Amino acid sequence: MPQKNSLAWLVGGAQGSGVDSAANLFAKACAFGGLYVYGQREYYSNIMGEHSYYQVTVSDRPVRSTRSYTDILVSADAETVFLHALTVKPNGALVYDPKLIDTTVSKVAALEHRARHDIQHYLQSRDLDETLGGMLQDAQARGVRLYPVPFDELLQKMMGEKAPQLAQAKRLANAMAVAASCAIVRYDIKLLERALEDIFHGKKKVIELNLRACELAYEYIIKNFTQDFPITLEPIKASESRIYVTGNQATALGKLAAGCTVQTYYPISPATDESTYLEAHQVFERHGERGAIVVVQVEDEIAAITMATGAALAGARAATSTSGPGFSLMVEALGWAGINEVPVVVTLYQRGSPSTGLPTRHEQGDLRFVLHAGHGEFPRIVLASGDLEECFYDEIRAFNYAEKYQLPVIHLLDKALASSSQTSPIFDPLKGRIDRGVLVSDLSDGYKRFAYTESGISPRTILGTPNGIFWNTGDEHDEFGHITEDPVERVRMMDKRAKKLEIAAREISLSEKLNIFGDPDSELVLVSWGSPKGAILDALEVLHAEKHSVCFVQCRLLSPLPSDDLKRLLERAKRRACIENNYSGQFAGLVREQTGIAMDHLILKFNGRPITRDEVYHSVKEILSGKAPRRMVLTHGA
Amino acid sequence: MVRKAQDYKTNVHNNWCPGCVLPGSLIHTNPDIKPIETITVGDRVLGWDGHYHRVTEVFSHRHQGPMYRIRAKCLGETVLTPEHPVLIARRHHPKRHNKRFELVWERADQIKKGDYLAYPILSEVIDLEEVELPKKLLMDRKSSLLPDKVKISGAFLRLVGYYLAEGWIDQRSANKSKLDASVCFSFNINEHEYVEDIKRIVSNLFGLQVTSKEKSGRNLVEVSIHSSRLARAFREWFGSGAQNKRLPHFMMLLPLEKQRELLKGLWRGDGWVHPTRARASYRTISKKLRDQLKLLLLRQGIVPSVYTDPARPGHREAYTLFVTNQRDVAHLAKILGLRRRTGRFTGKPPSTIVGQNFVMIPVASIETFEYDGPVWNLEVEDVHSYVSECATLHNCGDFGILNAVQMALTELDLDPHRVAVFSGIGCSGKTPHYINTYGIHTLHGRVLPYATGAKLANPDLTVIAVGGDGDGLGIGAGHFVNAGRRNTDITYILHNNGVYGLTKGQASPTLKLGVQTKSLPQPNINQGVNPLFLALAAGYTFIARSYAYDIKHLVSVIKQAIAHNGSAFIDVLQPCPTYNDINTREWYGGEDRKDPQTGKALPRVYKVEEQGYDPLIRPGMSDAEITEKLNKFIEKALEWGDRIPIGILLKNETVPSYEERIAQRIPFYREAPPAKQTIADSQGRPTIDLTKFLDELKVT
Repeated sequence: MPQKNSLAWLVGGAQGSGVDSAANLFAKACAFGGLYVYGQREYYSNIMGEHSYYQVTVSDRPVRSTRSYTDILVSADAETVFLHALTVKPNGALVYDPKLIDTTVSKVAALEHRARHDIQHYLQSRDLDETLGGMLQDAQARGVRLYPVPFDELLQKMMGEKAPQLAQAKRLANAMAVAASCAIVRYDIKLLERALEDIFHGKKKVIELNLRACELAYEYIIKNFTQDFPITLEPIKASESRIYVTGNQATALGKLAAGCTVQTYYPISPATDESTYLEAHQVFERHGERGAIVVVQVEDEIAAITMATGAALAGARAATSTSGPGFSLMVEALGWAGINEVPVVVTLYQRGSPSTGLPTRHEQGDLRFVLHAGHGEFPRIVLASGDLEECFYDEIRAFNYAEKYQLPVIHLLDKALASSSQTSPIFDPLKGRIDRGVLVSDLSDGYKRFAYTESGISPRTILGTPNGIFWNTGDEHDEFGHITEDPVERVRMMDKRAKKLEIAAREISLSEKLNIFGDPDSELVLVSWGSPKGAILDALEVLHAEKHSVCFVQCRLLSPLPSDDLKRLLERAKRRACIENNYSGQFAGLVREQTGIAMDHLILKFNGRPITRDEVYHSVKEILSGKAPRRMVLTHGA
Repeated sequence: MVRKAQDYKTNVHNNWCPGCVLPGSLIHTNPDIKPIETITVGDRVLGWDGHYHRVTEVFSHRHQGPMYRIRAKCLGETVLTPEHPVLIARRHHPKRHNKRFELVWERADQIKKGDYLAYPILSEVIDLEEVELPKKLLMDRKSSLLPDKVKISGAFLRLVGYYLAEGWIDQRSANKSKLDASVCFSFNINEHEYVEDIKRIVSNLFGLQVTSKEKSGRNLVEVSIHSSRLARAFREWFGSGAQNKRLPHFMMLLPLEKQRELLKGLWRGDGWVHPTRARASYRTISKKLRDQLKLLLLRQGIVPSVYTDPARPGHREAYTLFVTNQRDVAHLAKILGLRRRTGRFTGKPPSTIVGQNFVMIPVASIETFEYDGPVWNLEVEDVHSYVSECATLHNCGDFGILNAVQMALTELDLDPHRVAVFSGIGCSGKTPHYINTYGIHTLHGRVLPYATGAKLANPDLTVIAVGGDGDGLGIGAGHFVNAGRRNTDITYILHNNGVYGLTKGQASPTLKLGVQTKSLPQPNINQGVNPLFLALAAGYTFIARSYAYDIKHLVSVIKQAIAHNGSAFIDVLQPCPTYNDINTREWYGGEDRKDPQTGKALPRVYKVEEQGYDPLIRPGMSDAEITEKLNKFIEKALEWGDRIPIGILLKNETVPSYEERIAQRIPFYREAPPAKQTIADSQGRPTIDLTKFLDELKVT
């Protein structure tokens, strides 16, 4: 059956060889054609050489996740073929460089031992050569169409006498691979040209060179592979204005919209790109006036959070951005912000852990940690975004919560959000509202920073306010902020601080706490938080089309947890399953702790790769069939 | 508005390092001895050096816990909190009964029975030739003509002694003029000798006649000098009423020979010496006079015991000084001119040791009891110590720095609300709570990034960071180095005492290799870091060293550090009286190496500015000039031991501050810094225009 405008595309290659640019080029070419695009980047935590790949899902309907299979695999090296050939569907396409055909598995140095062993075993068991040729032979046998593209020859032809240098050739080969992909699905090369212009903005010579290479590859495919491919891509008219944005960028833009003017950071994957984006976009317009954000790369994460806290004391909306190992260093200062009621925002991109863990891979293993990080008890608000649009708008909320309730706020994200890119409706800062809480400046004598109030929220001043002098200390303190060890004062202060969280739980609207997709009276209620949202929603569309009765509850506010609302929803459900990217089902455990309701099924994934739409789909089907075990572990991904 | 130091003070009572004493504890002031709680800022108290010094701060807080009552063999007792440092004299070699003593500050709870309390001898000497008499009043026609000035001779002082012991002012009956007053004395009928002495003195000094009258029934002779003018002078000098008798301050400072005559007069009046045994006493109902007499005797090298007779029917409370050992009684007898051979007194040998500047008094007993109530402490200019009835008490050097910060802010006349003082954890950590500016007491080692964050968000703030050497160069070393790289316009004051004071004296990063301070079970196994070198390597553009006991110098350095545009680092040498018994105030002051000629201490600390040192690196200097400056800095930074330089060692004006570097990227940074941008309109809508950035990402 021919299929229009739905494609799972994968490009792979050695890190530093231009995999990202190739994917970006392809994704943008599709996006410029009005198609919806979702991209996910997978890479090793090193600079050069190790295998990296990029999956791009394209559709004429909104897409939010990757697939478990590949329609077109584009490879610039042998390793990509060895690692991903088996994911290519029958009738799918495999683009490769024919000169690599004799490369043996054992020659691919960067392969993980386990992967090499498995591939060798696979080929041996089928009596195939342990070479790329063997791998292709197998693919062909499964119905995969092979597209050998002699990149070198084509380049030679193009450049004539002036043979390109190796690095340049590699980069051009990437563009050619993308062009080959476009030719296979008969996608208009004009859009590729537009993507090139967009990416190489103003660099005429580079654009020209790339374009000529692309045209050659495109023509080569059209000329040499006449058989129609079952999938075609066609531009459609977009009904709305869209951006193609990464999670890091969406979050950074959210910070700018929120009025964040100080961002501190210590380089760490996968958080750094957010800060570098901010630094590159440091100066902007503010209602005709000029605005700016000061981005400080500091000496460590302790300095990052303490400097942001100092800036918050002085009245700036201040944040820091990090990942698990960095956040581990921040916890003492988090407690300091807690006891001193300082509005500081920490954007935490979770990654594979513990310790250094899987620095560039995905996981949602820090939920329990952020809820309890720091010694002792102090209120904090934790919110988790499920997609890039939420990343943007939730940053505005995060700062509002921080200033309104005067406490540290953790915006919990993850690697899947950070390094995914997506076409998204254009962000509108005016959809957000800035609420700075009880910030006072017109004061007479006797100001008490920590005055006891009904709500537990004391009017706040910033450093520099006349008559607003206050003291902060990590010790327990009195209303002025001076140290006290008085037992009565202690109880009052603890009560005061805790009270704020109760007020927050009451004041924050249900829509900011939970998203509910589908009928709550469904056969099965899925609960999740954070990035699995995309895969779940994509799977849900299919399940609903197949008339399955499934509802999805996405929890956005994790502290204070909307436990009453969750309880109400889960009590009605006939069966409940929790999907999350960790080993132990941390969110399921939290829900059970706070509502008394246990999940019937845990769908877990902790191999460092995000959940795909197909994994969700198959897990749900298994549950609905009644044959699923209580704990289901997902393992897709290379 | 011009501010006073008081504007920078808070009502917070400190509750850490310096320890405190019980209210009611008597403190030697000039000219009084007063309960500590009645002492106010500006009073002068006796310091450990035997001079009077100004009180710059009075502290009080509630103490719940044990108190230590330290009773001396003589002179009385003092009640202290456990950690309060007391000046103790230790034998150089504890096992031998040698005479070499070292002075150390010891916590009250570490003092043992038999330790010697080092008690300073009032050592100020001001010789006055004569003193002015009060002017003659116009109405006073009765007084004969008196000279305008009276010579302070031995005879005059003997007269004073007689008066203090036996004299009073007779304000005649009501029908006569008030101006009609006499100076009167009573003596025993046997003390004819003294009556004649008075007559001679009065006639010689004032040319006045003295009348004497025997009160036969009571075995008394009453002696009167009719001069209301003299009566007025005596009332002014010596107080009125027997209970309030006292010596004027100038008499306390007279040379020893003159004071001997004073003692002679006093003792002849109210004193007593046993004819054969080593016992002498002086009894008065003026407490003030007794305490002054104590100081006078100490000046003469006599250590009295102090005793109070409780009031009983018909008798007021009385105050007695006893001299009860062979050495002191013999000495006293010699002063009084008693014709006895010293060896003839029988009695016990002295328990005290008399030194040149101190007397050393053994601790007789130590008791502890639980207490819940107010306790007090003082801050004293220059010497950071004061003297109670029986002991010399210290307050923590941190206060010196605290005062210096307050004084610097006062002199710079900064609005308190535009200043933010940040601190880390340690004895210095609580500093912000005592300063009436924004005060941020942060985490251990993290003071610099907190302070930097505030400064970058609002560069109009004056930001000062304070911290200890453990805080800044141990746990916070990374921040110390990186703050230098940034060169943000903040001032960092490092309290450098070589130990972790708050956790009882472990070695800090600045303690030198092989040094063993008293809490260390073994000598320090690590090398000490050189904070000045580290600051240079890190990039601080203002590097200074000062000394906690030289407040004036410290204030001046802090002021210049605040004024400097860039990161200013001040390494403040700060003896820790409690835990660092090596780098003590005495060590820095060179008390251990006196000039053999003059006998004066040769201080280790010296000021580079007094030697023409110029720390300034100006824009436009050649590389060679800069290299020369840096070489000189290195020379100073390496100097330690016999000579320790203080002062501004480097001021580099060629390096832009972090704020200036930011302004290169954000030209309007100073006008619209992060804390001062309008981020929302009146309806709360974000003011930012993201169009440009979103356009970069736009695909449809």
